[in-house]
Amino acid sequence: MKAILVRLLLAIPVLWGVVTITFLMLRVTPGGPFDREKVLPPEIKRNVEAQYHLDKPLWAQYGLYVKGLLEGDLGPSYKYVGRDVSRIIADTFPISATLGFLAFAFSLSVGIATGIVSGLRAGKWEDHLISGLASVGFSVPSFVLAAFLVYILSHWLHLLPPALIGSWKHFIMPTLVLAAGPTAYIARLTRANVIDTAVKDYIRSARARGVAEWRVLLQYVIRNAVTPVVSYSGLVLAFLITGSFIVEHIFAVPGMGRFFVTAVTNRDYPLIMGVTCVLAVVIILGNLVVDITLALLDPRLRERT
Amino acid sequence: MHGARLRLRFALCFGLVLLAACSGREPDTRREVRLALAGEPPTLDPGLATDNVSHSVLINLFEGLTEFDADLRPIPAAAESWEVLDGGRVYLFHLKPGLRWSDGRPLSAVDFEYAWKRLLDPITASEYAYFLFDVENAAEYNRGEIKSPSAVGVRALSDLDLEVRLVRPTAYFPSLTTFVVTFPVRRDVIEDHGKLWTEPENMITNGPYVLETWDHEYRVVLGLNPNYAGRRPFVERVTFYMVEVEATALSLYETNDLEMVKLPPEAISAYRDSEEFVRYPFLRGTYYGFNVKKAPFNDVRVRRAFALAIDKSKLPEILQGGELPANSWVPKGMLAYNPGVGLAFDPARARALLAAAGYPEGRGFPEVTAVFNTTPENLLVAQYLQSQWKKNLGIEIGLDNMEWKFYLSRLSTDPPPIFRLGWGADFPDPDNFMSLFAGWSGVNQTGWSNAGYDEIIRRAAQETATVTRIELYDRAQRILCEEEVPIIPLYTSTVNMLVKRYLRGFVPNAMDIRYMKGLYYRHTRAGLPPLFRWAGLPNPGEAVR
Repeated sequence: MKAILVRLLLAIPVLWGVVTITFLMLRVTPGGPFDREKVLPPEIKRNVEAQYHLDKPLWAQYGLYVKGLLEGDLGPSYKYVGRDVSRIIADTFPISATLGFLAFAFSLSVGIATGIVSGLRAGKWEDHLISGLASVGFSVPSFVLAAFLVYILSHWLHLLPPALIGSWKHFIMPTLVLAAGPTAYIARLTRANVIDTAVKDYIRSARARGVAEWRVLLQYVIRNAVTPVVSYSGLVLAFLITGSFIVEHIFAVPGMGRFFVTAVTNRDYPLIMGVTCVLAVVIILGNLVVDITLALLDPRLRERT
Repeated sequence: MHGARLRLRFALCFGLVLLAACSGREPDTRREVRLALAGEPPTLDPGLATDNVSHSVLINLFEGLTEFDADLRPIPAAAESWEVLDGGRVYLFHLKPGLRWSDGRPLSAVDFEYAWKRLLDPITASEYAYFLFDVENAAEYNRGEIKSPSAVGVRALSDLDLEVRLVRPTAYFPSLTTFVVTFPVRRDVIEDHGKLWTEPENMITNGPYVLETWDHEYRVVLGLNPNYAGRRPFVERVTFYMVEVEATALSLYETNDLEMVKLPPEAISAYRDSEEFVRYPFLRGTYYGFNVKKAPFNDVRVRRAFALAIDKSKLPEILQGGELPANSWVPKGMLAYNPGVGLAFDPARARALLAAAGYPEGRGFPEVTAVFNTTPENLLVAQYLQSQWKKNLGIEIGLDNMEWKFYLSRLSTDPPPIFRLGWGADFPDPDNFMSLFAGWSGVNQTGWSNAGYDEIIRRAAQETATVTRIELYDRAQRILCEEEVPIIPLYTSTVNMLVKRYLRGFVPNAMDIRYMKGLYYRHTRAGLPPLFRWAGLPNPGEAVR
């Protein structure tokens, strides 16, 4: 319990660092939020910049931002006039998170299950099939996979809608595309660990003691084989639930992931800061959850902390 | 035998009708149109919107004093008529009597006066405030030099009469009043709800539609405005989905989830022969500009040589969108368009000019780089120009591309020797294109200015006789595109769309303003569900107008 508290306290300077570095990097990047093809007359640009305090010196802008942040105010978006960044995140984050959790659940269950099968049947056709699919899932870029799935499932078989949200059917393809990479990676990780663990001395001795085969698999092999998967999954979970630019873009899903790119191209400073903060918080929390899970799985870790 | 078959058909029909009734969904009588928007509208506040996405929604929610017909002539909308007084310096608009807001309150000239003064108020910080700088004291009020809005030259004389006093006669003023920024807004609504006034539960509009739903980042749904005094639109629901990827929008069109879609360039060849394919010119010009302040392009002979050395007839083939190659700057579809102006492809003359400038066969020409913002189309054009200059002038130029905002900041701080830019019309008058390169323009990145040109542009804007205006713009275009050549006009864009065959009444215009109120459905027999066709059923979606 005390360890968790310490970790949460340590997160504060980390977040502060993220905020400061992002803030400075944005101001160093050339091009401002109100640079347009139709260049604004100077007096109008002055009015607009005054509205967002961009006419103040940099340190004052930074001070205002941090002050707002401490009060829970992420500021107004420059691009989406009249909408607060907190509002935008509140609207879009739940959708990204839903999709992310679905993809995460899929990657974990399918990845671990196929990894175990593949590991136990190493060298057999099941293993070749799964490993082959995993290589494909891992190496095919998501926009290619998306286009392929849309062609087969929407245009050819008329099974699923090609984009948008609105029913459970709409979530299937984005989930699959989002999950492809992590699933493949988890499958390979699990397979390697299953093969590794299966020849360990304690497994042999368990068998020698006459422990039932399913117990050997469940309690010894699999439990040990999934530990590295758990440490990997923290970061994956964080990135999955904060949304993916490509998947949300291609499937027209109104999530938060697209802002990691569009807010930058628009130089929408507060929105970039906002989504970056959310990502940072989620990563910190994800890692914390992973450490707690690992401690539950492995008694040795529990004693150390 | 025959009778039995008829009975079977009848039974089937009856079943079908029952089924349709039970399911609660009307078969094909849905009066809804679904389209894709290129993204979330940054705002639905007419005074703050600056982009096409917001405008394409707003144009259906509000109605200004005037609107465009298919040929982009301003015709009466909320205004019934207008008088031009004092030699073109004063416009007196008369509103149609009986117009109402969506909540039933009568529309008044006061609403226009409020909207315009709000647009100009520096506190509003509207980026498009300068659209009304032709109005007396508007610029001064916006700059903060005049504090009192009552000095601004717009005034409601009565509920139905709006007087506008201009700084100088302005020939295109009724075109300006078609533009979103001049639309009326409600003072009480804005004061009650602040920046949340554009949310569906608060928003009051005066156009054919009202804002029914706005699921941010996902869709905007418009419903009929019950108090709209104009002809009741056939389409009762307009749904705009925000689909940023054009290929995704095309997929949705293919699966019948959208009725209209803009075609991505790479898909045009596949659909060109389809009956659903629609192509029309768009008032957007693309040009390459020179930095005339620095060598080697401070020499007009070099600029002319570069312009003469491009065979633009290949551009449509390269870009695939049916773009119209151009030597002159005023685009096709606009007053004063004159394809006879400008420097046409002439490699021999180009080489002679280059030699006269001291670079025979391109020898001794300094290293220069053409810069453009990164898009696939821009790259294709840049590579083509590079090859043309190499082939026809013997000059090898470098290419460099940059991310958009990066590029814009480079243009304003340190313009490259040659650069790509475009311009889309805000209102369809040559002034909007030609004043871009006037000495007072903030958008002219070439560093070129010419007192004679400026004088002609100024005169043309004030001139009321169309024939004289055309002559003046011809003269100005000759200075811009033949004599001084600070820019090389390349092409005018087109819009390539697919529109479902059952959707009728779509009248495209070169501003690509899509009024939804004129659309209606007409099902062809081929468009009927197969069972309906087989059973010989009447078409439930047949539109009567």
